[in-house]
Amino acid sequence: MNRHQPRTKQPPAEIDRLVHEPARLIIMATLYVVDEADFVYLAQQTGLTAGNMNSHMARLVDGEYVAVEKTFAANRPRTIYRLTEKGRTAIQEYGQQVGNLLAPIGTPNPSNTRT
Amino acid sequence: MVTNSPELKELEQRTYKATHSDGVIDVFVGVSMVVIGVTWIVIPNVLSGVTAGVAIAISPILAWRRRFIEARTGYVMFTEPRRLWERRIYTTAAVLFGGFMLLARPLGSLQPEDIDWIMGPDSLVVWLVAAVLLLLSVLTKLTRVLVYSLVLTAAGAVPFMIATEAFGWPLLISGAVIVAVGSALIRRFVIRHSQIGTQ
Repeated sequence: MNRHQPRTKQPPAEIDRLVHEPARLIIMATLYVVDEADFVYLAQQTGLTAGNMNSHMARLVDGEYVAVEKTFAANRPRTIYRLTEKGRTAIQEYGQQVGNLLAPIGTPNPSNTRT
Repeated sequence: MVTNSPELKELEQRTYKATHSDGVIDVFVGVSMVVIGVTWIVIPNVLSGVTAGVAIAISPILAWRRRFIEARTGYVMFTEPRRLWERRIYTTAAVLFGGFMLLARPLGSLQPEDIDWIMGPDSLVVWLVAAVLLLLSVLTKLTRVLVYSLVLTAAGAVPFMIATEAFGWPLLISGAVIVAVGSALIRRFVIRHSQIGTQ
């Protein structure tokens, strides 16, 4: 084995790439800690533009990680998102996979991180 | 409370705080204190009616605040444990306010010489409100509510310092401070969430 390759319980290839992308990870993490949220709320929390949000949400909806509901509030369209059971499981498993992957590195020593 | 990892718990607390840093409730509480304080100074006979009017205004103000926030930050529904916690805070505040209303009248009718050990009955009423705010600051972990409580406690001594019998002054002074802080929070909130819209 290459000495630069860390020993991991799960190979990196098994990491869920749908969750792994940073913007989608933040979206899913936000939806994980609330019951439901609309497009505007998620865009503000993640700092993504409307175009980026649309494309990421479409992928999460296609992957059945996020359920979407289109309603009206004060005569204006409102798109509400919530994490599905599949999405909830996916982010929990992702957390475990990343934890396993980084476990050999361990927690950083604060004295080593000083510059 | 809601999630199973410290990072997600912190994220939940951060998102909750971001949705509750608007200052609308602060301004409402501050204006109410100013109105009650002015009434206490100018026409104390109608104090009970004005205080009841303030209590009645709470519900429509909260409904308006929800629309005001959602138009700027978007819609979010927090988890059931968080909503339960929020209901407990509102219930506690309502019970404390009700208790204050029940106590205010008998306390207000006391003679100063009966309880001169704490400056007088009117200051006791003011410090009761300060105690309510102190308790709420512990429950909500909001530092500014603790500051409000301290301001009210200090302002309770003002009538004695300026030798006046108008005990609405502590509420008036504290209310003005709370309105100023709340207005600054609203301004910051509006600037931060200037993009209004839904999709």
